[in-house]
Amino acid sequence: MEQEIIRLDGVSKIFYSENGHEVLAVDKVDLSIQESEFVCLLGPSGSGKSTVLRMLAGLTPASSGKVSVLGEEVVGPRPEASMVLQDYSLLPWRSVLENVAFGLELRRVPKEERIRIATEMVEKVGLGDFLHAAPYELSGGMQQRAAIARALATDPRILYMDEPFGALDAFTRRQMQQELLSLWLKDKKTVLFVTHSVEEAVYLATRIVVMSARPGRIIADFPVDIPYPRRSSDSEFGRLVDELMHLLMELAYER
Amino acid sequence: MSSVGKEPKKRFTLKRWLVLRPLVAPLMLFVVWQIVALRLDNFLILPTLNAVLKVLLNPFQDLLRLGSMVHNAQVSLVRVLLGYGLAALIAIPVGILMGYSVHVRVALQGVLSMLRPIPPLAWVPLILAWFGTASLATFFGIRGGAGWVYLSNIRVSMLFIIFISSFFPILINTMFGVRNVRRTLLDSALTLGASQGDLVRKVMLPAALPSIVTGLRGGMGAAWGSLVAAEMLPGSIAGLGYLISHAQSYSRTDIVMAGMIAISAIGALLDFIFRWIEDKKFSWQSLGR
Repeated sequence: MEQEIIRLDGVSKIFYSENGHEVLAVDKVDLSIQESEFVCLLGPSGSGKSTVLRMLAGLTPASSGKVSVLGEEVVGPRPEASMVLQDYSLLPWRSVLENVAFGLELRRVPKEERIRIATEMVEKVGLGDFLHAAPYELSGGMQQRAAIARALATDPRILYMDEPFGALDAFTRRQMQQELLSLWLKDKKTVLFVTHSVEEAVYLATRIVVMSARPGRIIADFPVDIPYPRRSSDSEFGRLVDELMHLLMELAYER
Repeated sequence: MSSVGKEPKKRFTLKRWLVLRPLVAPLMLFVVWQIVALRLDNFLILPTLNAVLKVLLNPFQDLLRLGSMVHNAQVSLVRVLLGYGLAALIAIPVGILMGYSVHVRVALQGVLSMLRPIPPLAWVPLILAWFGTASLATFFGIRGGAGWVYLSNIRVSMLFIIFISSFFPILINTMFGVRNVRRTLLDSALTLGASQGDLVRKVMLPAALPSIVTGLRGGMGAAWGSLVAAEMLPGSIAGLGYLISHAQSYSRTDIVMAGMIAISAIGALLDFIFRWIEDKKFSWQSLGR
């Protein structure tokens, strides 16, 4: 049943700074992700992990190498993938329901059907009482829930998440991680989750890919076999966190 | 117990008086005005408050055979709305294009930043050379009938002045509104499957709308402000601007001041309408991030 869904072959990304300097953000990255994996892309800031995500999402082209999803080269956003960003990015003039229905609206799904689907999604993420609320009336965690519902409403096979819980307080963050996991355990959509939190990666992922900073390279890639639900008090959990922390520290000193 | 009961009551009456705060300064101004006017006793320099009020309280009374205050205000409003409407009609689409496309922006920015610093009044000599006293009636080739009466009152040169003063505030605000749409809003719309058309219609335009309305508000202020200048151009025979400059040559300072107050009141009302729209429709902007 293992099917490759995401593939990067020697992918590099060069940015040009304002004074014309080249900055190598991502350096010859090879990566293959199978369907239903929950992969955390872990690394310090500036390690190009968000850039990898943006290239996969079709928001920015690779400078060289090949980015493919489902065997096809990515040339723009693809309908089988959705994205959740750190700052929620809900349209502030639309209600929660209208936001969640936005992707369906863009796909020209008839109004009645998209409202039905969106309502269902909003209820699924626990915002049933806030269907018609404006985003600014919600807390950060609730806004991110709406953003997740919006991403899931188009029933994608892949979910890209760019530090989605980075702006939340510790408690809300853990709560959101739990809810994301229970959603994922239900239908096992492929998730590529960017984070700089070691703990978060170990709590969520079936596989952790570690990137180094400038240039962004993959320096480690290993599965996480701890069964769900995981507890940070488990010895295996702690050992893995320590190991990763150690790896990232070494990286920092090498520079 | 009784002292505890008294305090809130005291505060309450104080709070009630605070409602009158906005009236303090105008009231003081009126009092000073009236005292100075009575002392000076010179109608030409400063008429009394009651003289000006008398003009204002009879808005339908004919003034200097130029028609009533209301009639002149109507003429002015039609002119402003025409020139302003035309400016909005051109500035909003151009502003959206400039905000959306770097190429359009780079291509147009040079000319626009050359024209923008020129004060509307500095256009007057050139405008007169171009259009003289041609009115919309001349423009459309209408020589008689009901249409002529209306259109002959609207000089092309006036429209141009009003147009040019409201054009830039609307354009600049529209452009910045579109340009400043949060990158992540566009990104997430793109990943949800938005086409470029969707992006403009469903993300950029609504996101820029508050800024566009702010531009429309600024443009309206500028248009109304340049009205007096426009109505002082040759060939004008009506309008609040014409009324006050004409009244001045008749030494009717009371009408001049009444006209100024009318200009101020209408300007404030127009501004209030835009502020109301901003507050009512775009609460998401100030309450959100």
